[in-house]
Amino acid sequence: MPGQISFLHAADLHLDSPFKGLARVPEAIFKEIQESTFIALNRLANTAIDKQVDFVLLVGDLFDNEKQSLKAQIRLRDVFKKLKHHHINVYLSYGNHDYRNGNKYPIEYPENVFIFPDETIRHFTYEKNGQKQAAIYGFSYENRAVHENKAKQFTINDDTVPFHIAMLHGSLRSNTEHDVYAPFHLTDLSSKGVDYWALGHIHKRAVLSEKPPIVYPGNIQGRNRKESGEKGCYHVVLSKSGAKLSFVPLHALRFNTITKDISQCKQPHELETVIRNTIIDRSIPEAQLITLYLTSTNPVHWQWETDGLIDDLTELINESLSQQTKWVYIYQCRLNSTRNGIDKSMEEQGQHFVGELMRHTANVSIQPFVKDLYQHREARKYLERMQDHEEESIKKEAQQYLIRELLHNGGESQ
Amino acid sequence: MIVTRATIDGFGKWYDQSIDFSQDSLTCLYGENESGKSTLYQFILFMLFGLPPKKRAFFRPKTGAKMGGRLTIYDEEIGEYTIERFDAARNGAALCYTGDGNKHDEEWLKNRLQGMTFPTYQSIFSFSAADLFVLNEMKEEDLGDVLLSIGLTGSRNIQAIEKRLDAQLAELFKPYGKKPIINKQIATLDELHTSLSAYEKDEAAYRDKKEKLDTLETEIGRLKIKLHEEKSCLSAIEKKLHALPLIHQYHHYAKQLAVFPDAIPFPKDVRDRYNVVKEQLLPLQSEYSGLAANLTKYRAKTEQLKETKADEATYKQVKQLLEQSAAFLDIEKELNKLREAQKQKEMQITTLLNQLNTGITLPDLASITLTFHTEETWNSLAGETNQLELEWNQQEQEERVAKRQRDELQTQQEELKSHLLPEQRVGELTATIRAYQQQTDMMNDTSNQREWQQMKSGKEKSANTILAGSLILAMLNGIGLLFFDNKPMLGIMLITLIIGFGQWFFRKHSIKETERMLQWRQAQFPEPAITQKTYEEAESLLAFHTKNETDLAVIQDQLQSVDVQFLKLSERRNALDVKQDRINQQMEQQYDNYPFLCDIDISYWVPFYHSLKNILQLHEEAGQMEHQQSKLRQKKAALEQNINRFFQERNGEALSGSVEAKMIMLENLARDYQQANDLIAQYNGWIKENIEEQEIVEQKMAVYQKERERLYQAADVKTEEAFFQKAKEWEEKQKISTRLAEITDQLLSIFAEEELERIKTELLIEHELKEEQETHTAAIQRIESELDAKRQELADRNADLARMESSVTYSSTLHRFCMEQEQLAELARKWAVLKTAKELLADTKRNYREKYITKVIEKTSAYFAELTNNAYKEVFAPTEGQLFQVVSANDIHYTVNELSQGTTDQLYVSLRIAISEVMSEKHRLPFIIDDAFVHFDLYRTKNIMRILTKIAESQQVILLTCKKDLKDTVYNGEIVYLENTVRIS
Repeated sequence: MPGQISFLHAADLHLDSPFKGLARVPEAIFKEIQESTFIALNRLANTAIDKQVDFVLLVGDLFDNEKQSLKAQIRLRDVFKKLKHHHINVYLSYGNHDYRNGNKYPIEYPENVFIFPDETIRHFTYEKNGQKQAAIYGFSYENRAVHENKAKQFTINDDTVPFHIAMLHGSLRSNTEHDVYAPFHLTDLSSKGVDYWALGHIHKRAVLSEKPPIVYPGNIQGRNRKESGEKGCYHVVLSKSGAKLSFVPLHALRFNTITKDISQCKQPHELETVIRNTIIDRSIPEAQLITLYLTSTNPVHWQWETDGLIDDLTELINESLSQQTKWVYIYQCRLNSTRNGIDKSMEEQGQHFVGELMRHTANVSIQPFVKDLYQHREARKYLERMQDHEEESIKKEAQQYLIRELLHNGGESQ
Repeated sequence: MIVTRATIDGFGKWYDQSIDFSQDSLTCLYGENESGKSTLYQFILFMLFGLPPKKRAFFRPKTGAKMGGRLTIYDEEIGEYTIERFDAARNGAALCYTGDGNKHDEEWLKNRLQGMTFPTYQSIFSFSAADLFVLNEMKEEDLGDVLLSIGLTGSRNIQAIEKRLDAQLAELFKPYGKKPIINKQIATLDELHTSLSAYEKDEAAYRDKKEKLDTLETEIGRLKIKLHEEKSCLSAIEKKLHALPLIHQYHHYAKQLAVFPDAIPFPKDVRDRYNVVKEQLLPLQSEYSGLAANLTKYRAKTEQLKETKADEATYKQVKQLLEQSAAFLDIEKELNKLREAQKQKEMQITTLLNQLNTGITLPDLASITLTFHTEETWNSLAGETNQLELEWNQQEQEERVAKRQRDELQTQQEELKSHLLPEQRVGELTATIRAYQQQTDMMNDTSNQREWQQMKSGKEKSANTILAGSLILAMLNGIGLLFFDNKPMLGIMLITLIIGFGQWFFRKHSIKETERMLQWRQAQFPEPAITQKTYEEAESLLAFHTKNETDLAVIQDQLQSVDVQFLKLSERRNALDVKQDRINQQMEQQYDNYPFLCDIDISYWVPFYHSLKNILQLHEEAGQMEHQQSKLRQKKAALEQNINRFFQERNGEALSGSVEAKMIMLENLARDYQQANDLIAQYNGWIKENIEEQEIVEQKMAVYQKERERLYQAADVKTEEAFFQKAKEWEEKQKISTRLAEITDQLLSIFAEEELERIKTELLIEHELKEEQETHTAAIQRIESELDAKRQELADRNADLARMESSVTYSSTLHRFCMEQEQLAELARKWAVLKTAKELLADTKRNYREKYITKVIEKTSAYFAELTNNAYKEVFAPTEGQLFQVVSANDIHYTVNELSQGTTDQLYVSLRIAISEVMSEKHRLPFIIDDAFVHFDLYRTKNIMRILTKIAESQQVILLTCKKDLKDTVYNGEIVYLENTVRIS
């Protein structure tokens, strides 16, 4: 249609970068996981072709320099070639993970790919039928980090072009969850007169503003527990009357975190049924990697966990469910014991051993305890430094373990 | 908190019971064994903390009463409330009724109990004999530890937990181990990391390779340009080389062209026009000259003819002679005819003479004359001779027959004479015959003997036959006997044999007899002198002799008659001889006259006469022909003479040669004369014609000659030679120009125009060009091979890059590495949890001990002293490697395993009481003791009761016991006697 342009907006492809928090998975699933980012990429291309968009915007972090594989870029190139075949342009900027100077492989992309070459904000003009249709602004990370406010540097310099689109890989200054790069305030963006702000860097999909659209499309394939749910890109149609956005899922498999109270399960087979029913969600069309949090007030479940029964159950369920095409795999299962009143009372109970344990636990640092392993000459090469929250969580778990052993299992077993 | 009342609807053996604890803080429940003390204790616990369904089921009353009940409790804060629990209701959950009438649930109760749980309660506020019993089962050495662990935690498994933790940790990780899971995982990661680094390095080479590839491509591009340059140079040179002959030609012709004047006044079509004129003129000229030549020839011929022609007179003379010569020819013809006829006749005569073959030749014929009687004479002579010969033949015939007859007869006579017997022999023979005839008469009966011989052989034969028959019969009998043992048969056989032999012998005998008699009779007669044979011989000899004598007489008669005939024949021979002589005389006479007759048999004389006569006649005819010929010859000679005279006159001398030749000459003369005349006339005609034609041709020629003159003028020449010289010059220039143009065209097909202009000025030397060509070719080869190598390298590198691009090794290894790393993190976390737990436990234990042990041990010492009535004054907590220690009143140290069971129990009770006192400062839950004092003596029982009473001041104590003395010592408390079993003495 005249007077409008359409494009796909995607970011943070993180092609071929390994998933986080996935320990042991069956070989077949491992293969699928490995391939998932590429499948999502292909879906992106196919979507672009199906929807006959004018171009595709890729706002940084297409791959990870630190875990860079040649395969990632080769596949990327192949997809670009495919898009070229369908006369679809690609505008791409590099982000903090695929910053230019860290790229090991000089892969040449076809000429339908327009790359912002450096940290200076530049623009490409998209022309259709000899008519200027859109100006696309952006910059690429040359090095690992950009700390200045790049948003402020964007300026529209050709008023004759009907649409102005800006690509920015960075985060809100206020966002502290992630490393803050190219920080900006929303007002920095909304005041520029840009028709569409294509953001990248944050993996969680978010529309920061409707007018003008300021959008994080999120990444195209979840890669850890936190990146759960649907992942994909935005299909945007810009016209004089405004922007129409629709989200297109691209993910090959999805992460899902499920919490389930199992207090009522008295027998292991009941638990199995409950877990099965919980994780099989027919409305989800893709394969799933599941983090399962079980909560229970029933002490018998702690016993089960100690006896490895819950692990066995998980394994059993995995075995049967991971065989199907639309597999479901529980890669993490934790039992959260909420001991109503007990923990509290124990703490309050000044003279109890358990109380003593709790008091002690609250104040102690576990670093000296775990240094045997975490400082181990060989092990530490592969172990990340323990985060504070991790430390807390370990501590808590240890404490729970002890309480369970001391009071419940121990008491009962006498 | 005080338990005031327990109402049991049904629990174990208890039902519809209500026990009041409200009287005092120390309640002693007395009951004998099996009275349900422990069940009651369990009931209280059930009411407070609930029980899992299994255990509830265990306490379900057998009576069928519903399991459950109520426990009324007094709480210092909220006053009295009742806990109600029923197995059937709410799954055993509590329902609490407070004084204000409100209902509360389990949670509320838990809050009221301040989080106290069943096991905690059990481990702190209650103990029973069973607990002590369990202790006793423990190893003595562990007792201290166990005592402490119970005391400190309310449970006994810290050690077990620690052990389990250690085991689990060891399973997971050992700092220097290899087998634990984490160690293995680290090893796996190491391995993966190594290969990952390798793959990474491999992939890192991609950039270099790519750059090299780019360099290569640039290099190839450069080489391609260079190659192209070289190739175009080469092709330029090759073009030059190729065109070199042409260029040389160009120069050659250009040089030639320079020799000619720039312009030659020779109109372009002059030559053609001249040619046309010449074409026309030439035949005319040739015709004209031909005519002229003919005219000259004709005139010469005419002159010549006139000179050679004979004169008129001679011609007439010749004509006359020729007329005469016609007669001459006739004579000649006649002569020839006659000569021919004469020759024929002579040949006829010769033939006939030859046939006669008598040696008479042609010339002889003239001398032979035959008279009229010659024929007769010869005829009679022939007749007589013939007669005589016949007679001679007959004579000789008869003589020959007579002679043969006589010879035969003589031969027969001789033969017969040889066969005649001498006279003596004949006499003997005659005598013999006579003697024999006498003898024959006597010998007439000898013939009887012959008859006897015949009869004898017949008899012998029959005797033999009978014998054989009897033998056969006897044999048959014998055979029969063999089989039948028959006596009569034996008899028959014997009889047969006897009969057979008997008749045989009889016959033989009779024959011999007869023979003997016959021989005797023969011997009676004497042997005769002449045998019959001798007689017969003699008789035949005599007969033969007689016949021979007869024949001989006949032959002698015949011989005599033959001799007579001989005499007659001899007479006749003489007569014949006379006759012969006469005839011979006559013949001699004839031979003299006609000698040729000698050769002729007389019998042929007559036919000979006729032949000869014929010949002689022919001979005469030939003579006449001869005569005619001679006449003709004379005539002929006269003619010849005329002719000869003519030639003699004409030529002045006589011509040799035949008349015929001369006559031909004459004829020729005449013919020549006439011919010459004719030719002269013809030539004259032609001469006239010729002159006319010449005039016509001259007129025609004049037109063209004029035209030629004009052309000469145009070409600025006077003569034809000059014209042609000029034409040739012009044409040559033209040719060279054309050739030059052609070459230029050809060159232009090879070179561009400006290039050609340049090349025209260049000096091109072939070998230099060739050298240049070689140089460029070599350069091209070098560049091409370099290019090939580069291309190959490029292909290799491309393939290498393609391989790298398609390789997923690094990627998948990376993924695997990360996953294994995650696995390690998870394991590490697990380990960390366990390790933390272990350390926490140890820490807490240490802290805890430090914090409480002093207090507990103090109290324990106090209670223990009291219980033992100060037999022991102090208790030491176990230290490393040491158990509990107690110090007696006399300062002796004992370890716990050195104490008696009772003392140990006391220590335990002291410890428990101390612990519960220390621990329950806040809770103040009722203290329930279930028969823990079994081993206590009265004294000690009193002491403990005192202690318990003291404790009871601040805390409810419920004591379950079966000991009376215990009961008795309770002075401050209430004793509840359990139903049915309660006995109070």
